[in-house]
Amino acid sequence: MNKNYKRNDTLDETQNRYSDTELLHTHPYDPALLETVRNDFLKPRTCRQFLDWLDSHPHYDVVAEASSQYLRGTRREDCFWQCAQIDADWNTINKNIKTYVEKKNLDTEFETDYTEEWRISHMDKQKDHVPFRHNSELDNQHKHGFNKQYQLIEVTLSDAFPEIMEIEKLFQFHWAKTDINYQPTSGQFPRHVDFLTTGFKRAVEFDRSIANTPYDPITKSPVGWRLVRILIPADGWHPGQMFSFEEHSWSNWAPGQVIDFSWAHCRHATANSGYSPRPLIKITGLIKDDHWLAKKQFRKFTI
Amino acid sequence: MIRYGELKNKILHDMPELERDDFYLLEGKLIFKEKNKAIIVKKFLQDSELFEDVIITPATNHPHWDSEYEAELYMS
Repeated sequence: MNKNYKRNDTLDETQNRYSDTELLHTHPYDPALLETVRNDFLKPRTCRQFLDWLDSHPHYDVVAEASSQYLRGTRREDCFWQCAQIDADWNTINKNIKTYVEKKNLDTEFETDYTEEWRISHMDKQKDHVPFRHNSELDNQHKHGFNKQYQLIEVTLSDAFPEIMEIEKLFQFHWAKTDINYQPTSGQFPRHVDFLTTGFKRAVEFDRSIANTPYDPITKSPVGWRLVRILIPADGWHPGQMFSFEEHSWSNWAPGQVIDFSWAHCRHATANSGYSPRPLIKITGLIKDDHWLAKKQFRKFTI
Repeated sequence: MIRYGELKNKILHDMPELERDDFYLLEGKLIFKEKNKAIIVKKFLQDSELFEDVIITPATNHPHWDSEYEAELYMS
């Protein structure tokens, strides 16, 4: 177990590519600046060195934007696709989420703010884990009015949802991490690409071999591995609920559909402009190339 | 799924008249300092059959940018 890795809270100002601080976080970013930051991002690093670089970078949001190499015109099936179907008692699962939400007042106390873990529950087990939310990202989102985004409900590190843990196990991910992305009405999460640091940081923190593995900035994964995130609606789609992947949209979803997507390059965004909450299970983890998801196969599960 | 870096290298390799700083990526579109270079790339992309439609529009410039651009190119 690698006990040495800890988040570096000090910003590395040598990474600051702006000559004028008034330009910070101004959309659309300067194309030449993005190219410079992308070239920084593409430099060879181990996974641990990459996370240290990202954590200490003064402009996470610019790095994230630069890390996307998406070209408009890419086919929808290369942006998101259904990879599995899970037949389960979704009524009960959804009812359990609803009970949890009511108990924690997640619909009424809805404000996305700076917290160490940006989570709902007090998770004692998480005290040893590094935060995954970079403040510069939230600064930028708040500046643009995205103050209510979604509520993140812990699954893997809690014992609140054993039935969802059964679903997590179906996918046999290494360093699997499951959350419920619960979006109350009026929530909007602005377009972004991911680094999947939720699960990735745990792997780097506790697995020295992954920490020292080279980072691939195109797959945004350790070389020899693939970081994956799958999305599973726990409830059916309701009118007004939106999920976009670049110029493509996902709609009319049903509980148990499992969606895989190009999280590394496709800017994706959600909004709940409907009158029903939108609970979405997300499972993140690492797989090898011989995993059925890496081969783009489809699986059906019944639990 | 072809990505920007791969496409840019292909363009620069196959068309020596283009240079690395002639165009960049912005929100999924290629943005060019000179419109005539965008036209060259449009023809290249159409001939390569990588994308069905290639569209060029005038670039929108912003006061917080350091350089000026003439054209944006995107595929559909």
